[in-house]
Amino acid sequence: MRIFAYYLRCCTVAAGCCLTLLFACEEPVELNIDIPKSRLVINSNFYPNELVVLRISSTRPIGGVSHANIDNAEVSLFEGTELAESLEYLPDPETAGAGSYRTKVFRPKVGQQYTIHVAAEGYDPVTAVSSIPDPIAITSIAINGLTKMTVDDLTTYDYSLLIDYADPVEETNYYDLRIYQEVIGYKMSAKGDTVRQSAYLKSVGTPTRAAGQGATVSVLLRDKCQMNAIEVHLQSQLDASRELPGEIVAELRTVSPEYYFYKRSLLGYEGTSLPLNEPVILFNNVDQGLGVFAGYNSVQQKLLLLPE
Amino acid sequence: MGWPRLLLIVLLLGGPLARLSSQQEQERFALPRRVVTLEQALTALNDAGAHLSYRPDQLPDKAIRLPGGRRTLARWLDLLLRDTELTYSQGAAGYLVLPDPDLLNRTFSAFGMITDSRTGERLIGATVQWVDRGTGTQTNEYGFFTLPSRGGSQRLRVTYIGYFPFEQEVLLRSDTLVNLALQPNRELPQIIVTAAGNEGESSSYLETGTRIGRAEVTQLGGLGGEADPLQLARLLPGVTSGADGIGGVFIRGSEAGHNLILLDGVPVYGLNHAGGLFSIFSNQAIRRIDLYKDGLPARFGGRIGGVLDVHTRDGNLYENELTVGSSLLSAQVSAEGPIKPGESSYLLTGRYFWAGKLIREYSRQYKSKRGRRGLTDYDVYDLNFKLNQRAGRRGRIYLSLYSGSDDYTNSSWQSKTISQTTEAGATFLYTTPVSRREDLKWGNTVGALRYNHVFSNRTFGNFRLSYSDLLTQSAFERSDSLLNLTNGYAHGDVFSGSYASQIRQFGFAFDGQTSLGVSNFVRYGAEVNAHRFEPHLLNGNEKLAVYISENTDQSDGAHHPLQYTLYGSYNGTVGSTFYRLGLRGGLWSNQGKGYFSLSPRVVLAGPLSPTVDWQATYDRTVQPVHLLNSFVIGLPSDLWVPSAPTLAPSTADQVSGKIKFSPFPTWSVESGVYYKALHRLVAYSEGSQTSDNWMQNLSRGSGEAYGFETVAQRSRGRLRGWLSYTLARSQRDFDDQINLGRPFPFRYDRRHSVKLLMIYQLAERTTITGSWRYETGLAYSLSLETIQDPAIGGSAELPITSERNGYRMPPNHRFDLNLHTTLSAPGSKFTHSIDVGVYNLYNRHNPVYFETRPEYYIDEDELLSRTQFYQIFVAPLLPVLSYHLTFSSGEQPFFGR
Repeated sequence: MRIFAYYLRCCTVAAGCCLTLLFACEEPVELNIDIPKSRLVINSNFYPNELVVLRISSTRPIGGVSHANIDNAEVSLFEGTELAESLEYLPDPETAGAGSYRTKVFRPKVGQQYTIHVAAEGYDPVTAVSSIPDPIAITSIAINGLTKMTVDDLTTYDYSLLIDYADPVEETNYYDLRIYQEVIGYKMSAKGDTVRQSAYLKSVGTPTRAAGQGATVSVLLRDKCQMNAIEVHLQSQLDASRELPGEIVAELRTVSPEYYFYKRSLLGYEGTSLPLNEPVILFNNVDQGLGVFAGYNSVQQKLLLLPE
Repeated sequence: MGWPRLLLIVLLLGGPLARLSSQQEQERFALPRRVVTLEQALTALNDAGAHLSYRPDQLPDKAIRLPGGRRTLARWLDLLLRDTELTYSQGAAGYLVLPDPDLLNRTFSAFGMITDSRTGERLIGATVQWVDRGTGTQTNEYGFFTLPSRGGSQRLRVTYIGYFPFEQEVLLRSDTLVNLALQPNRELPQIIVTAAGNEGESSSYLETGTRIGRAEVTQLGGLGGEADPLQLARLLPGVTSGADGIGGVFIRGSEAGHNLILLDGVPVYGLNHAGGLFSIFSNQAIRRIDLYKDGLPARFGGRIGGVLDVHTRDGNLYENELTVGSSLLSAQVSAEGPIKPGESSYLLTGRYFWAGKLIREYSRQYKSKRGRRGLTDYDVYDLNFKLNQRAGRRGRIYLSLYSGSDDYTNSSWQSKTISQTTEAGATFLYTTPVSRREDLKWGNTVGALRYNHVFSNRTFGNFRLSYSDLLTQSAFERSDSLLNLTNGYAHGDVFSGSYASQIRQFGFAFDGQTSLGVSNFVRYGAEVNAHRFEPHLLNGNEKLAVYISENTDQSDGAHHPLQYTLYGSYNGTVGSTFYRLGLRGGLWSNQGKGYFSLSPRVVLAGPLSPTVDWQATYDRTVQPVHLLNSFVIGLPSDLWVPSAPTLAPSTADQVSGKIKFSPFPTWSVESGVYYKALHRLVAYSEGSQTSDNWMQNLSRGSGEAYGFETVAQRSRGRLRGWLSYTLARSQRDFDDQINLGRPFPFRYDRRHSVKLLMIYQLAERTTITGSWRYETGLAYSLSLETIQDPAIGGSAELPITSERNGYRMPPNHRFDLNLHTTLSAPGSKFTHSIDVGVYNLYNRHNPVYFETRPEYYIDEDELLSRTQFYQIFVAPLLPVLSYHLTFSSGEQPFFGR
């Protein structure tokens, strides 16, 4: 009996220790690893016959201070091997310290290779290369299965957009299909007449993802994955008290591979903040740095949401 | 002499002799009821008037119990010569007893079952040999053997580790059923874990499995005194896991979901309790586990990794036994005994992790001391039940059931307040609430109804009706916020997920074995399985309550695949080379799409010299179900999904070879190499997944694993154990949606691995066991820098990881010590079994994963944050203690000497 009591006491003490098993122990640690030094991060999507705009920031190493805004960099843009222009820093009057670098006169062209070179004090210089692909025409656009539902003042148009485009089969092409809703603002006059105002573009969403502010539907495509037209299930939401539906605008961006892979890896970041999640590996085409320097081209086609 | 004269003599003599013979056939002779020698019996017949001729020196000196009575001479001779090599012939001058001239030229088979004499358990892998001829075989997983030989009297020897060898004279006059029972020998030092066969015996060359026995697992002990067969498996070369077993079992660079786990032949989908700290296999219920890394028999299929073939005990056929006990974590009970002695028995075991009940209050205090609110609650149990019943002379029916469940809840909330005074003198107050919540529930049910039957001296078969399911439900929510109490400004992250999965498998199978000669037999079978998979997966930057309330019924829809399998293998020899050729054909049909596959298997083996053996294998395997890991460690939220029209089965090819050198009977050194190519692997693409897109958001890839394994083992003596070293590499190469299409190391790619196991026999019933392991740290994805979120800008940040699994965690190593002893007074019906020891003796903190948390502070009147790494580990130095009391209605085990 005495042995049993002793055993019981031992068990109680030892069980207390073992309880730590079933909820994990944790301790702050300093990992014996080399923390990388801060690197330049550049971000630029350039378009034919438009000025080249580039934003530059830096990485924040673990344990480091906040991101620095880089406003003293030397930025050079090369067309082929020839210097096209040095970019100038232009502060953003609305957000102090978050300006961008721009060309003053130089506008890129389709088919040329462009190299950006950025040097800033305290950072390793970085370079990136990209070009602008040929545009690909939208061959057809149609709306299918349109329904309308109004709750209070919010009218939701639910439909499928069918888009076909002339994807060249002999080469790999990358696309960013963006869809907007053109909206015509209106107000009622004192006499009860409808007074139309200027039209503007509004984001559209999908049944499972509401349109975000400034973030419209963006479908990344590699070639044309099916023989027939691409079908996208969309929803346009309008404030019935002040908005009339205009045309659906389909913008087919023919993008460089850098653009495509960078955008796609950014999409992967949505909702992956648990330490046990596998991380997203962010695409990067900037040597010695991070970010993207990528050209793209674009065509648009419009279609009335509601037939006349 | 002319032939007319000869004819006259025959006629004159033949008539009386024929009459005499005819009289002898009909005449009945009386013998008394007593025990006599054969010669005495024959003499008595002659004395009674029979005309018998024999050579006394040919008669065996054996006693015969005469039944007494009156019989014809032929009937008496049938009876008397039944168990001898003699026969008789009838001539004109009477009966002649002589050696059977045809007996030695004919081939018969001895066949039957080998069992434990004390419990009636059938012994798997027992070696059965003809002593004079040296030929032998091994019992299959039902204890059945068949062994051909020429006719006549021979000595049959049966050996099995942990049992006294048994020899018996067997007279083969026809195919003979020989059921033998071996007596356990607890004193004999055991070969702890070994290839399933015995060294130097021809029958073992083609055995490719490694046996893990119940006794060895008991001696090793385990976490908190919880003996776990997989703890021992992880000490084998080529087998690994996360720290302290977290994540499951990984065999030769394959994923946890690539292993075929069979419980009494039925596939099991969930192997772990507590995330892998313990397996679902209670040592009370397990008879043995066979682990296969290569050379897979054709009867195994459906996975592309290793095989864990788990056999449960049958229950004692002769005596009732009740065992109760407890470790520091769980209470256990085991009851077994005969329903009808020698014919039917039952086994019931159960474990309940009572420590979980104490956790609730302990965790509340633990968190409170660290400034947190919340608690942890954990309920775990498992049950095993088995019935077996003899069905006729040649059949037996088994019913086995397993059910287990884990129910885990953890919540934590913490907030710190920070004040900041600006240069202008304004003071801002911030709070930093951090909240965590996890609810995980998962459970397996496995059932099998089996009937095995000895069809003939050469053919054995087993029919199985099976059911297996895995039901999981898990939800978690995590939020990190920064709230400015002064102006109400707040920002933060919230992330949550809800996972549920239902897998059900219902199947029917037949497995047969037919002997074709001494070293030749075929193994064949067929299976039909109906599956049901129903995944449910939601996660995102929402509060858990949002989509749990809105989307509880959302799922991707159930899949109902059907699986048909045929297999066969042939064991044979060419010269001194033994071979096994196998082929497995399968058809997986789901949603109108069928995948047909053929999986050839080859094992070649033989002796190079009396002390050196070799073995080479090739295996092709096919896996039509995929385990999608949502997290870097295996959790119940991982989703089993079936192959479907857009998701082909994974396949693997493996070649391996090894050399075994046995310079002394107790010592061996085995070295081998392997190369495994994995094709059509499936994994989640980077980024979040939901039920809407899990099928579309998958990446396809391939992998390869190769390595060198060597182990020096001492299998007998007071000190026994092994030292092993493994040099290995395993990597993956997926499409551009994982690691941008670049190859990366497998998470459990452990380059170097050293494992040491030592069992020292302090006394005949007491062992002390030490085990040490050192393994290269896991490959882990670690973010060491952030960038501003290009989509949002401002202070929003994105963590940047350069390479998947590009960082090496610190090495995983620890030393465990366990003293195991068994006490039993002479004549007592009670046995006490005690384990005392230390887990992780030098208190190594082996990380499971790292977590980063923002830490806010004020520096020069500015609110700053820094990222602090936290190491999450499971088991520091912990005591090991367990006690079991066994009551037996019969005699206690014999401990030798």
